[in-house]
Amino acid sequence: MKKISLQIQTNQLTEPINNDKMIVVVGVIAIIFVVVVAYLIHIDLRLKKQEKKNNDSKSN
Amino acid sequence: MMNWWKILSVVLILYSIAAGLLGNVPDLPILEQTIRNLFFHVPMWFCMIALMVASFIYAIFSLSEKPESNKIAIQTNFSKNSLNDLHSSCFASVGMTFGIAGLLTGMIWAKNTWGAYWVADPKLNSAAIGMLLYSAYFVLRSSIDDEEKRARVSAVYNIFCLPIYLVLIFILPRLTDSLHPGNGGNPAFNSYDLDNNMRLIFYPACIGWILLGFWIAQLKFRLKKIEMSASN
Repeated sequence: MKKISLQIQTNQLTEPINNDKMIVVVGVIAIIFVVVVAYLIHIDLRLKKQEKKNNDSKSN
Repeated sequence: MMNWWKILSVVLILYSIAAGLLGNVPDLPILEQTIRNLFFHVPMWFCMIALMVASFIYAIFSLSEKPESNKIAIQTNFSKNSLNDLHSSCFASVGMTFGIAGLLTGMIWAKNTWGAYWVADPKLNSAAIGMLLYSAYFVLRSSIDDEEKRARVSAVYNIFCLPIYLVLIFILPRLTDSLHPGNGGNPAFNSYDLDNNMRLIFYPACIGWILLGFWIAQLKFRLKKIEMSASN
């Protein structure tokens, strides 16, 4: 079967539709992401504390 | 500083969210604004593959350890085998999560460009079969109680799983007609990005999400290890 390859080439760039609304959307997504990262950091620090406690109890 | 890569992952992802949604993108028919999903959909799959490769490597380590040389980690009460197996399963489970995210972002993209959330396309079907293959890995793990046996059987399955998965998602869809870019004779996205604008966002997004995946897998591993040491 003959394959047809369609290649669209353009140098024209487009901006987001409704830029003001998009800034709000980006802000909301960024805040959600930062909250998730804060939770990951919280777990990371808690695990570090627990690991230190375990190591101390083993060395004693 | 040991945590530089975690900070880097957060910075790169925040940059890719802002630049990906607010920056300029090529003006293309059909794709239009949905082309921005490239900065989210593809990095999810790359992250999944990176995590599955890490899982595969730990599965090999797990098998290469001799059972009699296992009791070396006296201070942690863990055998090397069980730690490698734990690493392998943590990478696989986080990889699956990113795979599901890749499927969901792809489905949203498909709805807006092809008109349906799911079409009978070889790339999509192969991705779904690949996910089922890895789901079977977790079913297999949960069906074996003996720790040593579970580590060995699941490592063997994992080593078979990755090459089959890569064939399913990279090779088979290229051999037949497909709607998906980069498959079945369709040009991939690098042919659309003539002035390299998208690459400046796409590559940082891939690195950021991969690093975040490794961070989550590392946290999962450490958490499971503490749980295991508490139960011993």
